[in-house]
Amino acid sequence: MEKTKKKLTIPVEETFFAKPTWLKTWSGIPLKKVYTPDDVKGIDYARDLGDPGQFPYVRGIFPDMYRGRLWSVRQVSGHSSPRVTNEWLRYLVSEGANSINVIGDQPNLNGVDPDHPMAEGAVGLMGCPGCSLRDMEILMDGLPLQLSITLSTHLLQPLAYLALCEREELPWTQVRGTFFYNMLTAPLTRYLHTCDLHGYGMRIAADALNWYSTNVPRAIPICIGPEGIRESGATAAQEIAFSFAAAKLYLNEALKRGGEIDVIAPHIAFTHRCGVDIFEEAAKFRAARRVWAKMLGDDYGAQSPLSLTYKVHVVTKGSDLVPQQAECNIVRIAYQALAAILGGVQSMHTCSFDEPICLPTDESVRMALRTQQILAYETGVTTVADPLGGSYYVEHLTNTLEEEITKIIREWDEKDMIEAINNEELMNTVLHQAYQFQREVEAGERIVVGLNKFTIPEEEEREARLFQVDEAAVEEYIADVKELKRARDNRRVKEALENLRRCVDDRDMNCIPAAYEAVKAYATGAEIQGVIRMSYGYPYDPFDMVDYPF
Amino acid sequence: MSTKKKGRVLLAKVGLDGHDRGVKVVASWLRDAGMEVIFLGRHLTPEQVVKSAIEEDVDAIGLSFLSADHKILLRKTLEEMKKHNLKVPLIAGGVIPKVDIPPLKEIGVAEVFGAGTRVEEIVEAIKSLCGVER
Repeated sequence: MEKTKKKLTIPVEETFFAKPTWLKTWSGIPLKKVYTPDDVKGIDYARDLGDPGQFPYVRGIFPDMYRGRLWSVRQVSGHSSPRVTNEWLRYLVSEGANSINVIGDQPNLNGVDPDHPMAEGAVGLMGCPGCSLRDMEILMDGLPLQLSITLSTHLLQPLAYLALCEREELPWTQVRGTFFYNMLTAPLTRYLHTCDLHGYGMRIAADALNWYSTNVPRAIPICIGPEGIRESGATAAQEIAFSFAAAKLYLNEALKRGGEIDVIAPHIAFTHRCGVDIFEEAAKFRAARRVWAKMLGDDYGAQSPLSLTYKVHVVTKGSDLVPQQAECNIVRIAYQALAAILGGVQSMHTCSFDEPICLPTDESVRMALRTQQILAYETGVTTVADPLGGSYYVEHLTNTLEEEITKIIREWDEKDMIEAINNEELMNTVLHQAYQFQREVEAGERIVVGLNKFTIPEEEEREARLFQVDEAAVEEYIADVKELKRARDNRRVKEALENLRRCVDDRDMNCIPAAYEAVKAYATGAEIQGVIRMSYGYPYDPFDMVDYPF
Repeated sequence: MSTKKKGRVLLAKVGLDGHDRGVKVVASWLRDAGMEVIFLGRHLTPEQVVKSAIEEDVDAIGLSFLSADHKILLRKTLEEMKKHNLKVPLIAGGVIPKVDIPPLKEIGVAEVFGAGTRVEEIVEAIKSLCGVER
């Protein structure tokens, strides 16, 4: 006789009638069960929305949006050494990436050379090492310099890139590059140990904004990326507000140093996160466009559409991902990417599913690329501009976010943002929110699949194939750097650095041309940054361990 | 008569990596649980951590990692602790692949908490390692 199986005891009613427990947006905005025409009563289409490509650009910065051009598929890249990263970039491009994005490793982002004591064990781990023009030559070996490139690096790398272009006689007018001279958000992103924001930080940023605007017209020298806040607990509104408040500081400083608004404003863009709350994120980008357009138009008198349009590169939000049942992250990333495209962004990096565990492998990054490609070609969301436009919920949420963003910006107008960054007040505010978030997750108020619901026993968790840094390549690279410092024309380097020092000492001068000459002489990132630091009365080395070598 | 030990924990990030959301959340949680937290911040060297741990007479040290430099930095910290005869538990947390945990424990790391671990669990484990009574 067949044995009867043990009776399953499941809470049938409870699971059949399961419902969401978190009835707000991810950021905490309370939500009604449905939105109606009443919720969008005051909206005037021409004044508050406009068609895509029309002020205030809520519906998109171009009239045809993705039907005219999809977006930049721009995966953050970099590890081990410039040579290894070069191979990685070639791989990405062969799998469909149409833009490249190289992030510096920790030594690079902190402005120390790979042979610095603090760099030991950190070279090439979380980004591409790079300290000289020679590294850029290797990084770009065989890659067309017309490729749209983002350099999420120290201030040296973009100048090294321009030096390569000059060498190959590619006019700078053809360079499509995005760079990170936004010193303010670096400490928030937890880099640039002890940057003097008030002093040389703003000086470098403003000089870069002014110089690149006139010399490299298609470049974005200031890409403001407050990921340090957004991944540390900031709300959607805070993310936008902090970045816009920072943008104002750069604009003000650059204007003070002789810039004109419609010359410089088109050269500021943003790197924002996109979380997994689809409608909040889409509404966030829409609201950001309205706030930016009004801010540039009303507060700064900008007239050019290039100034008035908020341009954004998106990175899907890594802190939404969990290592448990890691393949689930593919789904989260797909939803995040969907939200970004519904929000009308210009460029995107999709994380790999193993993000909470390690750097992407070639397989996991390919999945991240395919995520964008399926979204672009199979889902239909790219055929029509601003498909969420007119939704009662989304228009209401756009308005709510606009109000919140504007309110926070006005608060920052009254405060010293640089001081709040320096004394960690800004960071502590959002970290408190991160703490609240963690409490909510562990109390089961916020559900994270695989983490606090629908979990599997730990023994069943499959660990993904792990990315490995090429340690041999790292060793070889560090040796190369030491050899470069020995073999270069050190007299030329010394002269170039002394010239840079003179230019930086003259507080009214734009220091970028002198920095460019130093880069061409094969001065390193630490040397260039160190000279600037010394001009402002700081020790050469941010960690005060290494002396000025000349 | 039993005396309830409060538990002093030193938390820090060594090396160049600056991502400190995780360790700060753990710090707040520990404080709410009644522990004393000495938070050294970021960009410390192993030498600085051990020096502070001795000066502050802590019951445990917790280090947080995101950037895959945990192996070399934990090894250096353990060497420094041995040099100064500091015998408190060393705990690591953050983005540490599971496959790295057994070798780390073998060299002397007391506990490793990977990303996604419930903070409640981390706090209970630290309390227990510090000898704090429930």
